[in-house]
Amino acid sequence: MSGESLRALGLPSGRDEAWKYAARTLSRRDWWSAPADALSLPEKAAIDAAVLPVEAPVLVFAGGHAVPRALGGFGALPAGVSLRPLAEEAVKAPTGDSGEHRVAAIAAATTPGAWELAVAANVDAGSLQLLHLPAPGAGALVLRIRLARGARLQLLESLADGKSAPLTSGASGNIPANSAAIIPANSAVNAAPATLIRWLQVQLADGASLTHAIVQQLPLDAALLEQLDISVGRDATYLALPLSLGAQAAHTAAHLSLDGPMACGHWQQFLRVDGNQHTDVQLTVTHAAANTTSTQAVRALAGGRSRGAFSGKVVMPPSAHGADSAQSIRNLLLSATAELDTRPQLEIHVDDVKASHGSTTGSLDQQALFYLRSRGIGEQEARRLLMQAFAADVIARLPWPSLREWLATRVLP
Amino acid sequence: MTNTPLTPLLEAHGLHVEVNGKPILKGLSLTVNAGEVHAIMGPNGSGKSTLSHVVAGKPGYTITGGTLLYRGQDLQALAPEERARAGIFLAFQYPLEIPGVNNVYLLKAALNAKRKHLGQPEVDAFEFLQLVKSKMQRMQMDEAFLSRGVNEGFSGGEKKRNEVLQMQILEPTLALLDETDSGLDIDALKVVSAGVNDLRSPDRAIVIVTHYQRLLDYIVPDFVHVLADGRILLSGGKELALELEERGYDWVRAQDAA
Repeated sequence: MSGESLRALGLPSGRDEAWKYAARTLSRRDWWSAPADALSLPEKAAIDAAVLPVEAPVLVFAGGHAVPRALGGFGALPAGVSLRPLAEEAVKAPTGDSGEHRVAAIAAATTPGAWELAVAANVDAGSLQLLHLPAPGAGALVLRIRLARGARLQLLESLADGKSAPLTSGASGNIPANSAAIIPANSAVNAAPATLIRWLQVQLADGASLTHAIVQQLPLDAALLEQLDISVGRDATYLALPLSLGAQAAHTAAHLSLDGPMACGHWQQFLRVDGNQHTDVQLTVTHAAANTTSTQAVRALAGGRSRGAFSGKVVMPPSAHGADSAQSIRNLLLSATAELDTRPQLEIHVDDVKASHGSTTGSLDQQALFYLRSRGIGEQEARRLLMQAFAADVIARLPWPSLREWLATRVLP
Repeated sequence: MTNTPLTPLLEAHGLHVEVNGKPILKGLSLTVNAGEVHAIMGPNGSGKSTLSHVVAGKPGYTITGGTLLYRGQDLQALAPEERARAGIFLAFQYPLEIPGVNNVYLLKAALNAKRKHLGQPEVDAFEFLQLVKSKMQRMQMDEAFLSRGVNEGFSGGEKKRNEVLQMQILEPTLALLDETDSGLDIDALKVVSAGVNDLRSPDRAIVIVTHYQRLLDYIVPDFVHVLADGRILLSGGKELALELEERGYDWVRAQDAA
């Protein structure tokens, strides 16, 4: 489908099950523009400011473009890791106009070209950071992440503010094949609220292991559409650690499919909304193969007049013998006007499986608050400590101590 | 014999307290001076825990009559954290588990909050750890405690030891122990009692709230009060506890009615 016909289609309405809890403000943004011939890339200062404090090579994407090394975009890739443009025909948007795959369809129609990040067989690639910055006219990111048999990677994605001061010098560098010409940042264009659209296909071959942390700290007027389609092979392990902190409106559709026997898939999310933010996450976990294991844990914190939604659907088809799934959702409401919607769904078509789910919604524990205050901790500090403790469930799983420390104070409203 | 002047730390005069609109304390009067150890005994539901909670400033506990003073100052004007910094400490009957908030972090933050209040600099990190370790040894606590969340996964006995450990480090002026003996086996009771006895000093007062006399074999009080129906019905020396053990609380009520 072309960008124009998609534009006519618009974003699905709230009547579409997959978009029922999505922010209505998303449909006011323009998601269908073709990538511009020339675009303003973020300045080096903006890049430096957005890099998370982790010892790892950094790759920078502005929208769908990879930012050249000379602009601070590329670090040296670890041995066994490659980043290359994908041929146009390799990017196949899902067919049909199903709301579940709408983000991928828009991304495929508006990307300047797809990329593949690959880790070779049996390579332990250590840590790698991908920085994603919105840039006007940069188009959508389509990225395939492929781990060959037995490969391992700890991937940290940072979605951050790409705004920069107007360029003072005409920086240029080695522009990758499908990058557009770079023009100096135009402050008028840059002043528009940022949008970011991304479609990730993650493919783990047998025995591969990917830890996939996503720190989303876009500016509070930005909007995000993202789709993650994840396929986990035999004995492979996928661990998603999304931390959703920023953006005015964000919609995540994630399809985690455990395709090989003994595959493990974990989705451990921390979600924080405040003010007028609205974030919704639609996760579907499919236990396509036998003896597969999944966990979904969500810790959501909402203040102000914000809204957050998490829909976690677990599907166990007849092929899911011996599958095991556990879901735990905890919502913390910090104001009377905030709203958190939780929808656990189980679709089970086989007998010998285990599937559990639990969900709680409440406010800060008043007993715990009093306990801390009775030890001399001030009320604000006590509240902060309890919120931090709430987030710790997810943050503690991040494999980078420096990032855990950095986040500890930043995850709170 | 010389009369040393008494320094009242806690004074309740005709204190009335409501919890969720329900009157619990109904005209309680009690004076606790520096250097004294008081035991408050009484049947379940008499208001013992309410007294310790209202002194610590638990939200939802409303003073509807009378006065409650700490070192001559009206406690109602102070938030719970201000009371703690001024030297009031409540050892909880049911200490809370707070996963994600580290034990040592809490201890250090609590001590520094108090030191700041007193105009003292923050405690040195190394010295603080040494202090915690020595006190932990005194309370026979496992080193694993250092890395765990507040009371996270602790047994009932470990939680009570942790309360007394906090008390030892914060060195309160007025310590309230709410049913600290409940759920303790005899060995733990001895350790906890020794920890409390360490704190006996001429410029500090300890108030022990308990249902049973057993604890008072190890922490010998100067005064014993019987709290029933929201008031102190009878006060005496340590021998009163033994008499209560023998004759039961109904005996006090009968005497009061007579």
